[in-house]
Amino acid sequence: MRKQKINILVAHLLEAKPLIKQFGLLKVFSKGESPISGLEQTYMNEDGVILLVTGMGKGAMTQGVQALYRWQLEYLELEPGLAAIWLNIGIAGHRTAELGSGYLAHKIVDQETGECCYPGMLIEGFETSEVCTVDEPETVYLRLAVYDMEAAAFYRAASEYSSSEFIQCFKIISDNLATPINQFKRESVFALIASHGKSLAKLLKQLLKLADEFDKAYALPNEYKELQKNYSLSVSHQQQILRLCQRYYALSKKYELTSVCSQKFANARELVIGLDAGLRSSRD
Amino acid sequence: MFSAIYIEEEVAGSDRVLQLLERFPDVPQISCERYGQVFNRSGQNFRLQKKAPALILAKKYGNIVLPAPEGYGFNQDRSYYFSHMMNCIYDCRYCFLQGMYRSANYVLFTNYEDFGAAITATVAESESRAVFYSGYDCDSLALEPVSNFCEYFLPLLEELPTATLEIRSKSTQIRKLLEIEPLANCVVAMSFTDQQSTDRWEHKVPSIAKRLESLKKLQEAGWPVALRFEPVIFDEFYLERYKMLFEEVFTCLDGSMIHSVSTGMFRMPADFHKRIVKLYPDEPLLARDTVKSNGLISLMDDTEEKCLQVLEEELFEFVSSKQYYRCA
Repeated sequence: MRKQKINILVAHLLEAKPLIKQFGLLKVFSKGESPISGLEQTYMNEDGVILLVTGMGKGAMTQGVQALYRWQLEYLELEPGLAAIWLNIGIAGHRTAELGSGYLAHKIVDQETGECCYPGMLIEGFETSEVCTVDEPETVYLRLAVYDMEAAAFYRAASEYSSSEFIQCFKIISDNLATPINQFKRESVFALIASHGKSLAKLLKQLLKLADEFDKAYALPNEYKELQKNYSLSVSHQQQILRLCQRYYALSKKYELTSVCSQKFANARELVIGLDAGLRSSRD
Repeated sequence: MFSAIYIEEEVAGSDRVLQLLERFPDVPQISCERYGQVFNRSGQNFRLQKKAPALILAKKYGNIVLPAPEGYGFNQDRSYYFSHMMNCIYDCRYCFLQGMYRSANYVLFTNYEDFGAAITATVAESESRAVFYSGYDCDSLALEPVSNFCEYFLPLLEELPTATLEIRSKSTQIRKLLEIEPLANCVVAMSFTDQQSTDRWEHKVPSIAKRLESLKKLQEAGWPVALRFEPVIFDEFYLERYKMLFEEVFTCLDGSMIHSVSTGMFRMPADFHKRIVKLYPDEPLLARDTVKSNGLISLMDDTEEKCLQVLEEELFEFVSSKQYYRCA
């Protein structure tokens, strides 16, 4: 299973169902067993796809993102330095867009605060739109934008844990001026989201490719992780030692690094000196 | 060409912006209040963004023309620099821009008229020739088809005979220059490193041969051209490699007609270097030993001067010392 998870957050179980089916997700916690409040409706598969139904609205979404992160950090051995994909999927409204059309958010506006945020634009092959997050279901659609109720909160919360390139919002139009929200049928949600199965698979594929590239560049060297276990390291020593290990790798001196790490050093200071000396001598 | 185009509300209605946007109808166009909202935000990765940068169209406020750093440039008189653009389409691993900016997106300041007014005012205030350097925070020519930098600034320069403009570039986008009469007060300065350095560290940059071809065309058309050998990164075989580079360059160009030649070492502020190392922990160049002095990082210590002198001796086989300066 991929260590870093693909976190999909939706507001409502109706939105979750087609995704649960598509990704073969199973419910993680039985009733009352969730270790952290807010994670009762968590689903997961063996490929590291996690889906959480947060409940509707900005507050619920914020809490959902935070709870999901905390759970992974405390219970799933999350490695904070690696790429974590955060994806909010849901139905939304638009003044003119066709029902069933899907959009990635390229700008998210919180209507209440006026705050704007801008997701990364490295994903190809998708229509994009401004998304305006509102507190009540939209019926007027003043702005030429996709209207939802969670994206702004989702993006703001997920930004604490990931780089903007890995945080995306995908919205599927369920209502517009011609077919407003009061004519919306709940039973149509499954089909609306299911119809974007291929798009979502494509989106995830691109995000995973980016994440793999990121992880390859920034993964902690195994030798460093071992040294962290075997020595008591201050934050400063950790930074020095990490950088020394990275330099060995960058200079194609992995073998020399392994050799130095196999030695016993009295303390962190001696370890730093030993690593530095090993790096210098390997170049002479 | 761009993953998206962000447009500051302030410039959204300007002719220059509208004409530019017409060329990219299929690129998402995203409004923003100020470019800093996109460019300066935290939580973005320069390295990833380099894969598909966006373009941000904005208005430059404040000090548009700034004094050039001491020791930068070919003249002893007052010199200045201005940046109509931030970030570069090339991806050179030694470049300080990687550590200066949070974002790899390009910012193009479209209020050229304000730049023109500031340049004109600076010239009027200068008692001697005023030299302006363009290409400090970007490549001046690489985005010429989009920015139309030459189209605006060269006619301005023609009206300011007591000003000199250096256009610093690694680009072969010289078509606009070849379409007009050469200006004696406009120097096109192209940067070069040796072939191995180019291969290792200058990603997306036109080949040495192509850059020389462009410089040759400019020189033959009557444009003053200059050579900037930088950064020179010394190692065991640097001299052989630079001999080959100089041979290639001065076989192509008339050395006696070169406006100026300079060398520059690998130098950057220590905090920039720290950020770049974080972005590229796997880059061998950045894994080398460094020396920190006065807040600046360099790659060598007491041997650098000797190596540079040896290099200069080689260079003076082709150009006179009067044409040469060391860039600080």
